[in-house]
Amino acid sequence: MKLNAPVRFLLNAVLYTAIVVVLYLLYSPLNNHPKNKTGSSTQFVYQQF
Amino acid sequence: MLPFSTYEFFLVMGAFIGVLLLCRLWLQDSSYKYVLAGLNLLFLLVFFPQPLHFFALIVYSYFFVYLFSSVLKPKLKIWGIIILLLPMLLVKFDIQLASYPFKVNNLLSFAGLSYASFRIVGYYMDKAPAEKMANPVTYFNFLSFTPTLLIGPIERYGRFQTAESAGFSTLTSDHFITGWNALLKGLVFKYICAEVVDRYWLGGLEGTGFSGLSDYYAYYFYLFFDFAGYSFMALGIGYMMGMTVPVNFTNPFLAVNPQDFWRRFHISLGDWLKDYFFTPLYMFLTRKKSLKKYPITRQNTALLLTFTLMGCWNGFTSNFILSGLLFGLYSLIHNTYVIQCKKKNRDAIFGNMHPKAVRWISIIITFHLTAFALYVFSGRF
Repeated sequence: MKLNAPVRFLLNAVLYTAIVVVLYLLYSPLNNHPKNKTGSSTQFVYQQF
Repeated sequence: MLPFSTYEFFLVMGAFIGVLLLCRLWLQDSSYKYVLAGLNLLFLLVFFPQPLHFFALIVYSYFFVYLFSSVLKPKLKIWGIIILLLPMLLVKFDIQLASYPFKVNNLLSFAGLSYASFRIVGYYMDKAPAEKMANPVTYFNFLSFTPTLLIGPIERYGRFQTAESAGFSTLTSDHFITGWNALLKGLVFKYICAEVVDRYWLGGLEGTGFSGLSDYYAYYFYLFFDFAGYSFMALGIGYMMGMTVPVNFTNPFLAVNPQDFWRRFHISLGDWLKDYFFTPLYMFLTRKKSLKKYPITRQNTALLLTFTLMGCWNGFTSNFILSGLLFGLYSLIHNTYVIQCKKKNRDAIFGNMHPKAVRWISIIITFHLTAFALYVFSGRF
């Protein structure tokens, strides 16, 4: 199904916002899960190696 | 900084893509490989933890590929393969030389050694004796291409060279959008799905002992999202840099048999093992007079050894070897079943059951068997 440009833009906007919100919830220092090792909000995408 | 380990890596990759797009405006296609080599070199020198180890492996492998394929030209390629795999084998065996005050591991080991070794052996196996040696710049790019440096997919030299020779012409908006979508998919897989499974499902089971099927499922999903996430991000950034990187995962949960599973899960490793180990081994066994009358035994022996090797590649510990053996056993049983079906000219187990029902039952069985083998692989029991 081919979506028209405004609908596609809207869906993309929703998708990107959702990704950013979930990333923030997972990696923000406010998330006190023991496996969340984010020290500051600038270390946004943190991954242990 | 290792690839995909911090958010700065993505900024560096963004800068690299920007440089390539700018160079496209002024430079000819033939300059692409030099610009790419400059960027790969910059990443290794500035960000990679052990650049000298990596350069040493490149020089070592280039010299020995030349020596074995163009000068010595031995009848059996196995000697060349052993020499080319030697650094990786020494690291995997964790050999301690008595005369050295430190372990060989410290001298040779670096992140991505296994993947580089696989690519090198692939190149050596594909190279015909009369064929010219690879261009050193292309060879360097082939081994050090930043997005695939650490965790694959396992590139083939021929494919890489073809993509590289297209030059800046592949830096198109279509390529960029394909890459962006793959990067986004990888990012969601790795940094959201894998992280959620690890924290709230797999992590929740830690310390509770074996919690049955939930443990299997959790680890399988975690491993898939983590590894497929990396592969999609590598593919995405590779595309945005103008290269084509092979797809490494396509819905492994829908595999109907072990063979199908390896066509969907870590595809580049499955293909590598099939082309450079299974097929030559099967051909070797076919030439053995004592095995001439036993085609099924030949196939099954080659299958079992191939998957055991795959287990060993991850490390010489019981969980990896056992997991490889399990995958070998699954393939062996499936192979025997397929042969029985062909002999009887009907499905040896499901009989006349509806094909859709057979398909779904096969998916469920394969899913659970692979989840179990991957759980063994994890060493969590």
